[in-house]
Parts: sequence; C-alpha cells; structure tokens
Amino acid sequence: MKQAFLIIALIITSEAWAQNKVNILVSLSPAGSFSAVSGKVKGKLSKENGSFVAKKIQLAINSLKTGIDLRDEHFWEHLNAKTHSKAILTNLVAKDGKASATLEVNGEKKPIIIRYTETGKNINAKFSVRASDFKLPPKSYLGVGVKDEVEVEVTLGYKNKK
Amino acid sequence: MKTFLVLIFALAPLTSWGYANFIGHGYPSCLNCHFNPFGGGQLNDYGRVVSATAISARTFYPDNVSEEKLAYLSGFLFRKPKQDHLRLQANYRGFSMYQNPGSEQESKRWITMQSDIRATLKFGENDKFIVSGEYGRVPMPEFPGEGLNEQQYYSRNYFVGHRPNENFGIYLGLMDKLYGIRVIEHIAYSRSNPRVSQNDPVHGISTHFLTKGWEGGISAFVGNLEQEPEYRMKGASGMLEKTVFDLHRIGASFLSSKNDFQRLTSAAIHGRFNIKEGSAILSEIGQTTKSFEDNNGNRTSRYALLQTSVRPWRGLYFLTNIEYQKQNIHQDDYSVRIGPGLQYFPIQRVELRADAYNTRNFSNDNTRKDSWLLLLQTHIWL
Repeated sequence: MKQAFLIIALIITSEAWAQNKVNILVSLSPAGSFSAVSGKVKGKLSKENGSFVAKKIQLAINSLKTGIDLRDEHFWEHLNAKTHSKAILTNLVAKDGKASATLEVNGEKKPIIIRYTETGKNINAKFSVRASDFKLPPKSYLGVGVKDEVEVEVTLGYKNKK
Repeated sequence: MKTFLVLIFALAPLTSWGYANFIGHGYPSCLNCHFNPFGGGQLNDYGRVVSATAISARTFYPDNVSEEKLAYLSGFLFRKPKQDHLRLQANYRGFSMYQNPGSEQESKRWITMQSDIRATLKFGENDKFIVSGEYGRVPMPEFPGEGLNEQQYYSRNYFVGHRPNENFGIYLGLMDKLYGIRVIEHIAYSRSNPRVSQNDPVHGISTHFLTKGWEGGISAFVGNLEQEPEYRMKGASGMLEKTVFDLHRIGASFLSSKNDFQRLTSAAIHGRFNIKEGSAILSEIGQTTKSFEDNNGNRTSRYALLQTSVRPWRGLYFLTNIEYQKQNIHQDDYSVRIGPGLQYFPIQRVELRADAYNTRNFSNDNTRKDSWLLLLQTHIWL
C-alpha cells in the first residue's frame, strides 16, 4: 500500500512539474530565431481572492535547451551560468491580467511588468526583457548575433490558498 | 557551345543545392549560413558549424569529442580558418540512378554529378564586400556525342556582392533566378516549369533586403552569356517573404523572361513552416505561361508542391514530396509524383540520401502511366 501511495504521489508530483515551462524566444541577427525551453521551473504560485502571489520562482540556466547542443553551451555561457546559475523571479504579485515582479539574471535585479492569462489551473505569462539591462554584453558567433530584446513565456501551475 | 549547354541541361535535374527545410532549425533566411543570401553555393563559417553541430549526427564520434571541437573541425581542411579573407570548399556528389526497376525499360547508371571547388574572398566588417564563385567538372553523359568525349569544366555560379548594412545587399554576376522555394529536388515541377533549376543561372544583378518581418529581392538579368545571344532568356524576377508567428514564412514570387523564340511568365505563392525540432513543411503553388514566336506549343501550366521533412533525431530526415503538375490547363491530363526519401548526415561533411519517386500520368493517350525512379546519392564536402 505504501508503494502504491508513493507511485501515486510521484505521478501527481510529475504532473504538477509538467505544467511549468519557460520558453525564451531569442531573435538572431541577421535573421532567424530560436527558442530556449525548460520545464524545470521551481517555485510555488498560489491564488487568493483573485490575486496570484509567488515569493520565489527559479530556473536553472543550464536546464534551458535550444535544440542544438553547441548553442545550449553558448547560451548558458552568455547568461554567465557558471557564476550565476539561476534566473530568479521574486515578489510576484498578479491581478487582472497584469503582474509585477523582480527578475534576477546574471546577478542583476530589475523590476518587470508581466501580462498573463489564466487557463484552467495554469497561468500563461509573457514579458520581454533586454539582455543589456542585466549587464549581458552583445554576443555573436561567426557573424550571427543575438538581439538585445528577448520574449519570455512562462506557464505555471497554481494552487488555491486555503 | 550549344551542344555543351544542352548536355548540362540534360543532366541537370537531379542534384541538390539548397536546404530550404532547415527553417525547421530556426533559420528562415539563407543568409545566416550561405554567402549568397538567397541560398545555394558555398557555406559560410556559421553554416559549416550548423552543419557539423545541428544537421549531422554525432553517433560516430566518441563522447569526449565536444561540440566545440566539432565546430572547430568544420572548417576547410578540418580546422578553424587562420585568416579572415579567404574561404574554400570542395564538393563531390555522385549517385546511382535506377529507372523503372523490374520492367522492360529498366536502366541503371552511376553519375558523378558534381565535383567542384568553391572560393569566396571577403572583406570589411560583417563581410561587407565579397567575391564568390565555383568551378568544376561538367557531368559526363552515359553516351557522349561527337566532340563531348573530353572532360569539360564550367562555372555555374560567380558573383561580387556589397552589403553596406545588415538589411541590404546588392550582387552582380552569374546567379540563380529569384523565384519560389529553392527545394533540393531539381526534378520538382516547381523548379522545372518556371525554369529555375540548378542549371538555369543567369547573368544579372540582384538586390536583397531583410527586415524584422520581411525578406526578399529583385533581380534583372540578361540571360546566360555562355549561350548564343538568341537563346538568352532576359528578364526580371522577384521574391518576397513575410515572417509569421516568429517561426514561419509565407511568400510570393514572379518571373518574366524572353528570348528570340519564347516568352515565359510565372508566378507562385509559397509557405515554409517550422514545425520545431528540425522538422519543416514546405509548400508552393504556381502557374507558368510559355508562349512561342510561332504560337506553336503555347501553354499555361500549373504546379503544386508539398514537402515534409521530419527529423526524428539528429542527423536523420525523413522526406516526403507530393507534387502535382498540369502541363496545359486547357487539357485534362495531369501528373502526380510522390517521393518518399531518407536523408542522413552520419558525420559532418557527408550526406547520404535515398529517394524513390513514382510519377503517375493521368492521361488517356499516354502509353506509360507509371514511371519509377530510385536514387542513391552520396555527397561529400571539405
């Protein structure tokens, strides 16, 4: 019986994880784009009286995958993952489709504004950030560079606060 | 010279030249990977690295060979270039061609389709000035006619280019016409009808522009100057693509050309769709009108192409081509060609490909309804 509970608990946990996802859309210069995707988003989002609150949501930089291994390595390096291994969102407060939070990347903290929609037990949030705001220098590789502004989409599952 | 060109055109239809399906890797523009912004020809340094680290499998490399090492090895002669101005590439492509296996019309032959060298000189920031070209052997026919016994050499692509900024470039030389999707199958109806196949390059001037949402170009050409003046197809063509939903492209093209004997006008719309993880769908629909000086054989043709390229894992692509052609829209006859294929890049610089094509002619007076073609292709580049 204990094993059965353990298996059920594991399934429930994995489903909860599966809801969380980050997709960073990076535009290339001169043309093209790629998505860096991770499902390993940690943190608790809760809903109370129509508002969403999260103290801390974090993402391991080297869990982001772009579809090309070498590009993964360059992307992590560009985000300075060796020194600052996580991107961290703190003090998230959201209501009526708009949210505010503080984003920390490369050890730099910046306030951000987020738009979101609610679908079932998830929220789908979107925001854009500039790499230069987080002291990330312009990066190019053999003539192909990444543009400063990137679009971020986050899907997070939430729980109602009792 | 005429015989020489006829020979080239006769052998033209089966080789590959560009990989429009790599939009599935997030590269909608050819400019990232090729010196020619419209694709084809020599790969630039970035293109070589993408080829080595994203397109080719790494099954046969030991685990201790890093992706960075693979990128380093992707340069000419297996090393990173030591200077900024000269880039070289050598290509070999050959294939076995089986036609109608198991029937009375069965034929089998090996063709060395391509053995050439390519060189590009580049100067200035972001390769502002380039001179690029290729030179190689003309494929030999199975039964060479009189005067064609000796190996001949030619260049099917050379140009100078100036790119004052990231968004605009101008190119002058012998280049392919701008039109439609440059799919890798030269027997595709979408290439043969408007005469934009591998061996239809023309001397002319092309412009290329690129903005966040749009990419395109216009070219004016005076025909292939290697041809006798009366055969040179002079005219203009253009192509415009719009990026949709960040990942996909939709576009339209036109082409108008004429020589002393015929006039050709063509228009097409197309779409290239990134279905992620290296997979893509390409489609094109077009119409070509050919009118002749003596009004004999005037016709308007329609064609359609749907190609899927599915990448189950790194290095391997399953291809499917479905094509339609109505050679004369005022007649009932039409053809459908279906071609499953397999494209495998086992290691960097090596492409192996197998394609099977069935062409079915829906015609009352055609004696042969079905024809079959099996191609096994090897492509190696240095």
